[in-house]
Amino acid sequence: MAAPFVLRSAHAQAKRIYIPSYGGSYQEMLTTAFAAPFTKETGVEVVFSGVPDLARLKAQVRSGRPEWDLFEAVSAWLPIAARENFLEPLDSSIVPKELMVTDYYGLFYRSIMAPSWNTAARDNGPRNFSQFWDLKSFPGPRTLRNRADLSLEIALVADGADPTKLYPLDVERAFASLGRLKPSVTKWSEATTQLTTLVATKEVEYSLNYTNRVKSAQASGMPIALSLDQTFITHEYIGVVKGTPRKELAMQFLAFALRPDRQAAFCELSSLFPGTPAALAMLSAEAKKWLPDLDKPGHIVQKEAWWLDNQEDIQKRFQSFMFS
Amino acid sequence: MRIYGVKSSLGASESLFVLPILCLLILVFFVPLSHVFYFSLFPDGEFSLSGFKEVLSDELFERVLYNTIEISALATFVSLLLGYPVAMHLAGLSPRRRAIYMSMVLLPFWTSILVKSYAFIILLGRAGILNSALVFMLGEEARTQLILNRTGVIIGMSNFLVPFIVFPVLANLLNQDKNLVQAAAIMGAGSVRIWWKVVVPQSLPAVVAGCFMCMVISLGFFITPALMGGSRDMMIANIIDLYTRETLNWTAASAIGVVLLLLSGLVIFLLSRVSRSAGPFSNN
Repeated sequence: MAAPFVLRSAHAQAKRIYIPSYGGSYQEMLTTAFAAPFTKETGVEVVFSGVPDLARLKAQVRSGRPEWDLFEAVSAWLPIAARENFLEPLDSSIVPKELMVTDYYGLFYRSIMAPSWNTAARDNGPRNFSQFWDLKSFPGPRTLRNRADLSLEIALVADGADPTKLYPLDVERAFASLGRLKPSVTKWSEATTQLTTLVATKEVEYSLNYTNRVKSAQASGMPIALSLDQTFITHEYIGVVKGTPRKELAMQFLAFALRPDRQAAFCELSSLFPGTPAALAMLSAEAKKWLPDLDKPGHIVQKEAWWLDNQEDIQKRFQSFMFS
Repeated sequence: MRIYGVKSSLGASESLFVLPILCLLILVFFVPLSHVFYFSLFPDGEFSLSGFKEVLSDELFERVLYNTIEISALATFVSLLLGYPVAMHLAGLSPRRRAIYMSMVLLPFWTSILVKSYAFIILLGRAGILNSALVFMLGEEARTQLILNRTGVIIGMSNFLVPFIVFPVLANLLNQDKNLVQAAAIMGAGSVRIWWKVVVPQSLPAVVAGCFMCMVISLGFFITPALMGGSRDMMIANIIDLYTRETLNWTAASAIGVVLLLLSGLVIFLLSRVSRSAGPFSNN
């Protein structure tokens, strides 16, 4: 009886799953919170390979031999991947139903975007989006991401729209609002890191930045602060890549990663808002300091479903808007 | 065709040595490139020009294309202005010193473009060293925006492109017949006149070769406009990125890629014709 068991576990030793990641300290956090404990529990090695990229996922699925077993990415990419048939339906015998957002993916974590400023240049910065838009009280250059899906909702709320009644987005009003801010936007950042570096080097006075980026910038001594009074919440989903030969292992990892204790551990390291609600109760006071109070009104929660059908046209319009 | 003094007509046995690199290029360059052509012409497995139609009727694409040509030409011109004097200086040095100075020309070339972009922010940024000095000496109104605009893109691109001017021109200057300069001097020409009438005409093929390399490289620039430029400095590669990664419209992305390739091909064609007929000394 023992022999097959030994054989099976020896076989498991050689097993690996592949996941894309953004590298750097983010990948170290993924390793500590998810990959290393998963290997310890199951013997399956987790290999990080490449950066999450929808185009690469498309190429891999098309080729029929995907390199990645799981895919985790920001905002509309997972809904798009599900629509384009790049994902396997989740196995409800492995992944608990209540952790599935749809049949194809679960919520890995939420990213929190909020106004940030350089503390060496000024004591106080804009604490909400209408203040970020207030060029009189907060004069000086600022930076936003060069993405429509990270700007339009915020522009509407800054213009006075009700954060709970944004969808379907009033695109004209959003662009009009962005147009008012535009003269002071010296850079539409191409990369997320620029939201931090441009503020830290005083190239701009303010940016709309992520809590986890600001936290790690502070830890490395950069004079940068952020207000959690009003935030824009986007979702990072995780799913299993279509056609992977290691489907079951990938499902197991997905279920493992969404477990409350793992989610809490990841939040302690990264300050990214846990995707699994039960994790919140397990957090330390220090970790909670970096999370916005979502019970208070004013926060914007993105609905990716709306972007699914609109992203291409609106992003193109956004490019023209930035260009002109 | 002659590029800075290297004859390109090879014998049969010589072409044999080219075979390995040819195989490599077919594998890693020609095969993917044919995929790009295929994607642009056969969007869903059937022949269609819809990708090209979409791209060519797109106003944004038109403006970005114009932008790309303008930025590339300007960056090439600036690189020539900066690179030619450097090549002249290098040509006048002893071989040992020249080797040291040449590595200095190459140093920025070996440095990661990301690192350089960050260094440029520290040097040229709004709160950078240069601006701090200007403000200290001349007051707040002297603060100049040197990055995150067109100036920034040109600085960043020229920084990368200068070696592509320096090396062909240097090779040419070193190969020039010294007797011609001596003859001109004996005939009583001053140094400026010798430079303008004897040295420059002989170096034209190298200048043209360097310029077309710069131009072709510039057309595909991606990171520098993204990091050093503002939103109006978008170039074609940035649009390809938009179509490939954000909207997953590979047909349009491939069509733009093909347009970019044809444009580069046109530049190479035009300038190789110019280089063939450039200068009275070009066919030796």
